[in-house]
Amino acid sequence: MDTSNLLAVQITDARRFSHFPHLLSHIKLAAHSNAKPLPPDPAQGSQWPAVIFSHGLAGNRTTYSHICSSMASHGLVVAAPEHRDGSCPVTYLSPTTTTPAGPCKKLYTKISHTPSNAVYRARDEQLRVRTWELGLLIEALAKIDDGSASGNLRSPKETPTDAVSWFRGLIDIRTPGKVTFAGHSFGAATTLQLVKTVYWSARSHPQLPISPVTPTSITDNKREQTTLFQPSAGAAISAIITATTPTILLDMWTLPLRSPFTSDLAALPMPHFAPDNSNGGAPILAVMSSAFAAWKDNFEGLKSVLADPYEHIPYSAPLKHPALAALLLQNDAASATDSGYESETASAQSVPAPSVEPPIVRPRAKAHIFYPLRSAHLSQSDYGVLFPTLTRYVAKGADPNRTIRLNVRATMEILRRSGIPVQGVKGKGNEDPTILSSQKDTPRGWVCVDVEDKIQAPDTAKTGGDSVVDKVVDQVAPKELQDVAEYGGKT
Amino acid sequence: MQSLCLASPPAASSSVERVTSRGGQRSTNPEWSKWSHARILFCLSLLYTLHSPATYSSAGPACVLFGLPSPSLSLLFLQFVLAHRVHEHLSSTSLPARHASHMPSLLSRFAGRFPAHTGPYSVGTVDIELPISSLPQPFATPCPDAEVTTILFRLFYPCVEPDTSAKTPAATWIPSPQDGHIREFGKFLGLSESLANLFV
Repeated sequence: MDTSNLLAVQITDARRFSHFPHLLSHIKLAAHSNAKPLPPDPAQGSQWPAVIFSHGLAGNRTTYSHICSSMASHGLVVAAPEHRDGSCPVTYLSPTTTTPAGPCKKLYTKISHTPSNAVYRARDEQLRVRTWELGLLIEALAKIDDGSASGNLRSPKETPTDAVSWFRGLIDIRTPGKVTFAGHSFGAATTLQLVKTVYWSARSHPQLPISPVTPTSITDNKREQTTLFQPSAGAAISAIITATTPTILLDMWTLPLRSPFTSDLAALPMPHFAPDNSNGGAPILAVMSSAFAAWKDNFEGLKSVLADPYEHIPYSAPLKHPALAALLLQNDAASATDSGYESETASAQSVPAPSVEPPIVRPRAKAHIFYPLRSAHLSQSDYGVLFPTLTRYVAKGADPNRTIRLNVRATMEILRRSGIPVQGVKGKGNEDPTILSSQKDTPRGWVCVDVEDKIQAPDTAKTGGDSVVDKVVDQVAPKELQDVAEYGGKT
Repeated sequence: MQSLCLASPPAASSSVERVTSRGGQRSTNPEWSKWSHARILFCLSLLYTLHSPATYSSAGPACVLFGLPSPSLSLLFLQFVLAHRVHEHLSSTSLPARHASHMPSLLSRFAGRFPAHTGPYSVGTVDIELPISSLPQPFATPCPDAEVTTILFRLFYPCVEPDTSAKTPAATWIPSPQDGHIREFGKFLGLSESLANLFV
């Protein structure tokens, strides 16, 4: 099986594919184009809460439109940027007054899925562009909200030029801890790195700052750490990312987190597990697919980075936990054998004598980790919903619509518990007591994972459904799923 | 391509009649027979076109089979029938499908259709692209890629239900320019010839 291609398919000539444009080109977004925004009910405030959604490889600003518009239908403004880091199959840049040379485009950048220093460097470069763009997106939304943004480079035939003025005063992009950051796959890795790097670079601590120096020459020296993103003190994004920021990680891909050149960042805990935050991981939600949950290395990496590193050590212990970074690195045979990092971590493990502990109740709330049974990596994107036959028989994901509904319900409950007002599912009232519960099979086919759990075997539970799909899933060996990194093309 | 097709209709219509009457097996379920005939014809034409690119570009076998004046219409017709199965699958596994665009096209009623949203609000969407030079950049470094001169994003938000006389066409899932996006995505995916028909 081609290890880099989740869809496991092969074409010889893309021009033949483009001879079938009619089925794809007619598909409309499931939302009213250019409709005027509705102001919120005054009882709930004057602004809609904001969600930032970062796409994964092979995505763009519309490939998650179903999950984004489903979230918006609960009373949110969701901004889905298009990253220009080479992760879209293609993205077009409109001409501007300073760059009038005409629309240019950026194509997909092929990077291997087999870890190596060059691969980590390349992914770090992509993360640097992505996090920078997300920082700029917050600035753009802040300008739109305060009414000082104007113009739109999109064609007036598609978008009215005054569209940005419709949102004046309607987007809550300023309240600290109330802006949600979400992403799928590589977008989830981006979200996690963004939240960590913005939070820690804004705070002074004896063990910080994160080095502001980006290596000018590419070396294999792992001591030369790469700074992914460093906002200045007055940046809009610095104010809103706090230890209680809701962070939604959909089917996170952990390879980019294992870069030895960002190991300093990996060694820092999530802001939610900062030593002085009692809330713990309650605002963190990770929803995997059963396909990625069976991919042992990736799932272990996810649990490492979402665990409370202070579970068993005093809060006064060193902020940077080399063990945390090593845990992400050690599952990658390629990097561990050539790094020499392991020997560094072994000697750095010195916990000082406990001093007076801050008054935080132990244990703190854990991050929420779930996955629906028989779900594919594609199921959380539009591909699953638009092409259910392909998803079912090739990517082995059943009922993508239900997968998205479960994802949206879980996200809404996280927001609700973070004090962000959202409406409930239509006809079901404003509460959802079961979606985040750890009780088995509640709802049906929804698996709760304890971040402390050992890796589970691939799910073989049969809770009904199509017997053909059951047979197909059972026959897929775990090794095949481990090889699958992303729904990417040939590398 | 068009002129060649226009020359063929008389022969084509008789070949259609021959095929359908030979199609034979009388099923009591009219939906089943319509689906099976269309599928057989479509797969045959697909195999023919994919193995003979020169023939496809000059003769358009789909239009020969159906006697329609252009290959586009022939493919549309095939997809209309073929995609009926996709529609059935969607409606059996999701909430009642309610398409939110202003003017659903004929095809959009049957394939590649989004199910209803879970929340109570109607959702609007708009594309925004701004030059980075018009925005504050309070960051330690400029964009790591100097070619990035704009920021592009799509907003999804609760909206006022638009009146049905709205003239702007609904935004498509594949952004414009569509042929560029589809071509690059096809290259990216590496679809197999035998599985490409699942997409259509």
